[in-house]
This record gives sequence, C-alpha cells and structure tokens, in this order.
Amino acid sequence: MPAVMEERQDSNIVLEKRPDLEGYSECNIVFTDISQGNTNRDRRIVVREPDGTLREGHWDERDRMNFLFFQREGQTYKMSSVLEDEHLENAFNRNGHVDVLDLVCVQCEPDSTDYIRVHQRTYEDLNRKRSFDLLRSTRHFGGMVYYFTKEKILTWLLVDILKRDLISDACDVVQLFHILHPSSKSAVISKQERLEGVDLVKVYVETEGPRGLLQFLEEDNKTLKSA
Amino acid sequence: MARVRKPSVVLRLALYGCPNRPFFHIVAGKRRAARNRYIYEQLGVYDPMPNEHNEKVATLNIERIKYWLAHGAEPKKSVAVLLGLAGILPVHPYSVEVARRNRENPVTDSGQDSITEDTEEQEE
Repeated sequence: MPAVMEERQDSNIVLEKRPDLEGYSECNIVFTDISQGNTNRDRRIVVREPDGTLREGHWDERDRMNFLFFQREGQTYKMSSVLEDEHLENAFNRNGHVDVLDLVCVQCEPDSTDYIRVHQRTYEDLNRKRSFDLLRSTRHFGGMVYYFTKEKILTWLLVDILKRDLISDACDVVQLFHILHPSSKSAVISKQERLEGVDLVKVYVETEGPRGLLQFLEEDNKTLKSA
Repeated sequence: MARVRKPSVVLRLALYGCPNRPFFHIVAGKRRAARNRYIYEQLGVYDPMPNEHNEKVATLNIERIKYWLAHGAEPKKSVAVLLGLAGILPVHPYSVEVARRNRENPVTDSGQDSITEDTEEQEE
C-alpha cells in the first residue's frame, strides 16, 4: 500500500544572514549534499539567495534537485499533464485509475500536494462510479478503503463488498472505521456489547448508514440466497 | 629556516562542457598538474549558468570534502568561495569584495560571474 501522509509545509529555516553578500549573485545558488547514505527526504539542500541569506531549500527546489541527481525510474522532469485536474477526467473515462495512481506514486513524494490531490480525485471518482472493482487486488485498494473510512463515505463500498459475499472483509472495514472514529455511535455500541462478525456490520449500517439500507441489504441477501 | 611546503592536493574547479557552455567539476587534484589532469576524486559539480528557475546548481560531496580538507588539501579561491557560500567554510573575503563591487556599479547583463576557473598561479 502506498504511503498516506499529511501534506508537507515549507520550512522557513534561515541558517545565516550575511548582508555583506548582497548583490554577489543575481540568482539563487542551490547547494545539494550528495554524500552517500542519505535518502531523498533527509538530504541537505541549502540555498544562498541574492540578498545574502542562506536558508534550507523549499520543497519544490528539493524535488527538482532530487530529480536531477537522484532520479527514480519512470520519473520525469515535468509532471505529466495527465495528472492535472482537467486531464484527469479523460483518464477516468477510460478506466485508467490504476495507471494514474501508479504514475503519481513514481512521480511525486507521498506528502506533496499533487500526490494527495490526485489520490483524492481518483477515489472520489471511483465512489461516484461505484467501480471499486478496478482497484481490487492492486496495491491501491487499501489506500482507497482508508480514505473512504476517514471521510465517512463507506456506504457504497460496503454495499459492493456485501454483494460479493465478502463478509469478513466488510467486518474488517467496519473495525477500521471504529479505530479511526472511536467516538462514533456504532463504535461505542459495539464496544459495549462486544460484537463480532456480521453483527458489527449490522450495527454500523443501522447507526451510520442511510435509513433503509439494512432492510435493502437483508432483502437483497434473501433474493441472492433463494436464487 | 625550514621551507614550508604547500599541500600537494588542491580542491579546484575542472572545466568541462563545450564552447559557450561552461560546466565545472569540483575535484581534488594534484597541485602541480594541469587543471583537468591528475584528478584524485570528483567531489561535486557546479553549473554557473542559471537554469529556467533562475538558480545556479551546485552539488558537494560534503563527506569527502571534509576528508580532503582534513588531509591538508587546499581549496583554491573558486572552491573556497563556493564552500563559503554553502556555509561549510567561513565566507571567503573575495566574495564579500565581489558583492560590494556589484552593488556599487551594478551590471545589467547577467554574464558577470564572480567564480571563474583557476587559470592564475601555477606557482612553484
């Protein structure tokens, strides 16, 4: 499962201020430490600005330098235009969700704005089209479930899972929901009554799901069983 | 009085690239050899031409630079200026002087670069 991280913030650490160096150069000078044993994330990258201050590199500069000197396979200097918002729809219409996610995993760092944005758009599109099966048995499925659980839009995913008779998977999803939202109603009830298995899903659908969903599911199950 | 020897290893900029496009390797080399000859180790690169984001790019293998400095290598002026700007060594007085000159009579075209190769002093 690809990493899920908080969005990163630029650090404005100023290492040195030298007003006497003002005007030395008209452009920034970027120094990258290429000593062995550093990873892309903890490498030292500093910038000397035209006004003489020496500061830590911002994330866009860091990404550029890391690309220049420590390129990953499949990464490109400029982000592919398919990852931009207006072109994402095109890829989604062709069911290219997995390819988009694979590409963004190579191209961007997991805490960059683009990485988080593309993942979010993809998951929302999948939820809208109810085509969760596209990601099933890829490495991105866990990330999708985590996102839906965090945003509390589990309904259609649960319906999809239950329709495929994957009861244990549904239980796991509900348990994840209880871990992420321990103060929610269904978490409290199931903790009090020490529920397990299908009861967990039932309690979750009753308390958190839309009204009538449980009935719908039960009827659906009957028809499935009789068929 | 005993004659003080200069260190035989220097850190210098070796010029690569092609006509109208300078590009430097930061190297540890033999003092008495020519600029691009007898290189013991490459320690980084320096690209003096600003890129599209208006920045000059330099890399430094700081671990190995420390090693060579500890073994008595002498950084030539160009490299000492770079190391000073990177915050590894104290700021070189020459870069302060260049900054003062640039402030006093600013040049409009950006070809005025302060770090050039060591063509001077082939002493001893």
